[in-house]
Amino acid sequence: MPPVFDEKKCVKCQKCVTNCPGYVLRMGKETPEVAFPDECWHCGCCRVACTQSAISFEFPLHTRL
Amino acid sequence: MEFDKKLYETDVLVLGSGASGCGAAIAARRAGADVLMVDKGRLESSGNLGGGNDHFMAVLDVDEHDGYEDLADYWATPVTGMTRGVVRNMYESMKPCISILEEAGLEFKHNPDGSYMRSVGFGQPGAWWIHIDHGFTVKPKLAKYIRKMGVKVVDNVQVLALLKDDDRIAGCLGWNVKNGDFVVIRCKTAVLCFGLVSERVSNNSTHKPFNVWYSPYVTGSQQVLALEAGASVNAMETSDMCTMLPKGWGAPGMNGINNMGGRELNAKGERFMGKYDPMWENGLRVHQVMGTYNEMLEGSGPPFVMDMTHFSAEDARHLQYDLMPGDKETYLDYCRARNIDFTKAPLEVEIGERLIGGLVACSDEQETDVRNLYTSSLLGNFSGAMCLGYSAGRFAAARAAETSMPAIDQAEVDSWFSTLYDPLIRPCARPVSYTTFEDGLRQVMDYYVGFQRTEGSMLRALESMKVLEEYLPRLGASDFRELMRVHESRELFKLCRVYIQACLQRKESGRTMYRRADYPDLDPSLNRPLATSLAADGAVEFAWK
Ligand SMILES: Cc1cc2nc3c(=O)[nH]c(=O)nc-3n(C[C@H](O)[C@H](O)[C@H](O)COP(=O)(O)OP(=O)(O)OC[C@H]3O[C@@H](n4cnc5c(N)ncnc54)[C@H](O)[C@@H]3O)c2cc1C
Ligand code: SF4
Ligand code: SF4
Repeated sequence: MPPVFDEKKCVKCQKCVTNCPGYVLRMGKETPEVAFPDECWHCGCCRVACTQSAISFEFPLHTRL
Repeated sequence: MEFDKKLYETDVLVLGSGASGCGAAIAARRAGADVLMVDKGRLESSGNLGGGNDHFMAVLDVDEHDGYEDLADYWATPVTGMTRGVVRNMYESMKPCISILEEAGLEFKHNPDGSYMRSVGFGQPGAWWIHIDHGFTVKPKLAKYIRKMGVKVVDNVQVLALLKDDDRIAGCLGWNVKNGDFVVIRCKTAVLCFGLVSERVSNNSTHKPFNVWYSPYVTGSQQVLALEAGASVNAMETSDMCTMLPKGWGAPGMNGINNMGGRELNAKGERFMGKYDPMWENGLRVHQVMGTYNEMLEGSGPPFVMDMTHFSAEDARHLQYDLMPGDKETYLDYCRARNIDFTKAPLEVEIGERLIGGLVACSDEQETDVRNLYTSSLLGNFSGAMCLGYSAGRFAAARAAETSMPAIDQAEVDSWFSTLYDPLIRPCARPVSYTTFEDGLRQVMDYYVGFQRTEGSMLRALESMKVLEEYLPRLGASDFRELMRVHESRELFKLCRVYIQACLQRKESGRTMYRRADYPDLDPSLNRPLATSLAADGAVEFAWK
């Protein structure tokens, strides 16, 4: 799962969802969700758009091998 | 399902809102034109610039090898069809574009004497690459600047065809990938900025087609839509790009690593690039990739690494912590995941996936074979894209000022409207997903049309392309996002098929990111562009220029 959302910081503004160039995020109950992790480019545009510093990254297995 | 229809009109239509599109929109708007910019993404994050960029190439006429002639000697290569006239446009746009970027709030690095901090790269004769601070903020800053200028920005619209009125451009059509609206845009002139090269046609070691160097959301529209509108495209068979990637991760950064003195070592710990380029790692990227490939064939790797442990502490810090996250915002997260520290141990790298594309052929005023249709996306770097976008925007605005609004072919529009949603609303009985289809495409491209190939392997690839073609009508989608991907898959298929045919024409090795085992030597008579076009019946035609 590339971006990871911090429930405590997220204010559900959806700026990250709108700014994702790959349409891989969608709004979930508490925070956005990575709906299509395999289509994430790891560009960080979601984090750049987030004013709450609510996004961190967990790199998927294949990037560690 | 009902779909609304939206019609827009503008003087200058900018097709694509990446670096090229930004340059074009700004120049055309500054010239007083009504400007509309369309992209399937959002201006704030679209294109390769959305991923961040850490270097801006510019000659500034202040040092040795720092002027127009040097720039033209390097970039006006016969094989690409890039003329000295087009390079002059880029040169004349460089200083204005730097000012625009600074006005937009971008910061360049400076030396203590106030001059720009610049490095040499890509075997060029001068230090042309200005270092950018916080490169990942370029796109949001430019977007703010452009919206404030009064450019009309139409985000989230995937363009599927260019429209013509007789021999001139009349606009484009597409659809909004978020709400499904059908969109038609009429224009006096247009600038093509859909990107020089496309990903998703080949695999890196991870076999994850979106985990790649360039934007995986750029899928061949520049070449395919231009060809279908009657323009010709140069250098489809020589525009392959490839780079060394951090192991397992589709990210850029090699420019910074190479130009600051990174040393590539093979599995035996030997630094080998001197065998392949007089400028070692900082020479031509094709030499680095093909050199590494050769080492691999000889059994000297993998693994391959880039060694920066000899850097001064300040250089290593600047490279890893200033430049790399500017080039890709998540770079340091990757470093954390793999425990990477440039001062302590070399960075493992791999030969990445291959990208393909081509330069839409144009006059020195960047007008294509289609009247009133201009082009940028002629170079695969930030300043080449933005500066040539800027000049194309100027030319397009000047022409628009003396041009009337063309007519739209309503029959063509209606025909698209009645079919473009089919994979979603009229799927066939046993639909195939775009992922399955594209896996097949990459299977063909990697196996038969890889780094090493022959006429026989490419002809065999074309046989497999016929099988893939049978699956095109079966591509199905269950929502708008998938429908967008289906249209991308169709385009990637067309791009690959024309590409393979073009590669068959170039019977030599040594100028490209691949080797023809049946023609292992350079043929000096082929130091010229191959133009690809489509005949009225859709057949692919070639002409050596
Ligand atoms: C992460 C990264 C870092 C880089 N770093 C540097 C650097 O430091 N220095 C440097 O000089 N270069 C760098 N490059 C290269 C440089 O960013 C690109 O060459 C340049 O941005 C290309 O701009 P472009 O506008 O021509 O094309 P693109 O960026 O490919 O933009 C094309 C646009 O067209 C849109 N589009 C495509 N098809 C359609 C369609 N059918 N309908 C609607 N919209 C469509 C896309 O969404 C996209 O926004 C880097 C590239 C990457 C990926
Ligand atoms: S941008 Fe930040 S705050 Fe807004 S929804 Fe996304 S994670 Fe939450
Ligand atoms: S990293 Fe980029 S592609 Fe991935 S979710 Fe964030 S914005 Fe989207």
